[in-house]
Amino acid sequence: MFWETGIQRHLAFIGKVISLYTHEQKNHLAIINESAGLLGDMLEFSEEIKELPQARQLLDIIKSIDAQIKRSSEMAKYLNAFGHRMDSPIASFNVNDCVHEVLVLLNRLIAQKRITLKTDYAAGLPQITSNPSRLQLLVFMALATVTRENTYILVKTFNANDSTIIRITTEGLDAPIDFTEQSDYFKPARAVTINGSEIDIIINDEGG
Amino acid sequence: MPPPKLLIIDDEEDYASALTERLNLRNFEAAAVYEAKDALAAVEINHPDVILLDLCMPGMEAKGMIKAIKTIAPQVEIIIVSGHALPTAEIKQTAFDYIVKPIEIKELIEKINMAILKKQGAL
Repeated sequence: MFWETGIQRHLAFIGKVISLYTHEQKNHLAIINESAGLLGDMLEFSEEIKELPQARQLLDIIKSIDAQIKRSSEMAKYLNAFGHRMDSPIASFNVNDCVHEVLVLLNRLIAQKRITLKTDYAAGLPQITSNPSRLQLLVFMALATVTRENTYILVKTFNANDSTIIRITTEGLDAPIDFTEQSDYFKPARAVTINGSEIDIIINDEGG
Repeated sequence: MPPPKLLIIDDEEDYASALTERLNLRNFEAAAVYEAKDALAAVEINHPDVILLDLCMPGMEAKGMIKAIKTIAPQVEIIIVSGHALPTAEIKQTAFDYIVKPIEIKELIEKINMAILKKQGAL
């Protein structure tokens, strides 16, 4: 089996550590948020402090802290959800949310490879019962096969023949990448089909 | 009219004390306790209108805490504050609302004001 019980337990453990860590991270961000907020309040509510020559600069610093808190909090939210995807090998989830989440978390990798990523999520995809963590791994594996820099990648979701498909393609390029040689890389995963410049991850509903 | 009384129950002291000050600057009368064991006594002493309750505190089971608070102060409204975990349906039924950390102060105050309106029977 592609997904052994032992591996699943290991993943659940990693997922638990991630979700505990992100919970702590949120607490730390909450402390920074309230401390910076209190500084801002002092500037706003105290006439004496408001008149300080550095007041404008202090406000700018507080705004910058606030922006970074929001940025980090957003990442923590996605990382927490990512951790919980490993809770169970089978769960009900929204494919678009699941794909978007892993793409956000892989953003730095995508930027390092100078990939221009476009997404086209089909609206109204049904909730699906399958393995969300495995789906995210396959999306990662598909992106990892892109070794050429400055590439345009389209990640598209759609429904076909009662399955939900995530298609990763470089079709828009003058010389699209041919993924056929990468077939062995995906061999254990029966859910993946490769057709030239297209990688399809096919998700079937495993719910009752 | 006296300022509305708030009680923050949260084990993160730096967070709770800064939030207390921020709420007091906005014409609330806020106090904070940092340990679950002190929470019920603080409810009895302070008679808060609204409680901001951290969902995950060491030594505290949220459902039991809400029940205990409601037993000694049935009129108090509770807003759950959480890092991530959304409250269960059961907790949602007994609490007025919930908010996720880090908090947007405007959003929190809107929720507090709504909770006060509900306590006053105006909602």
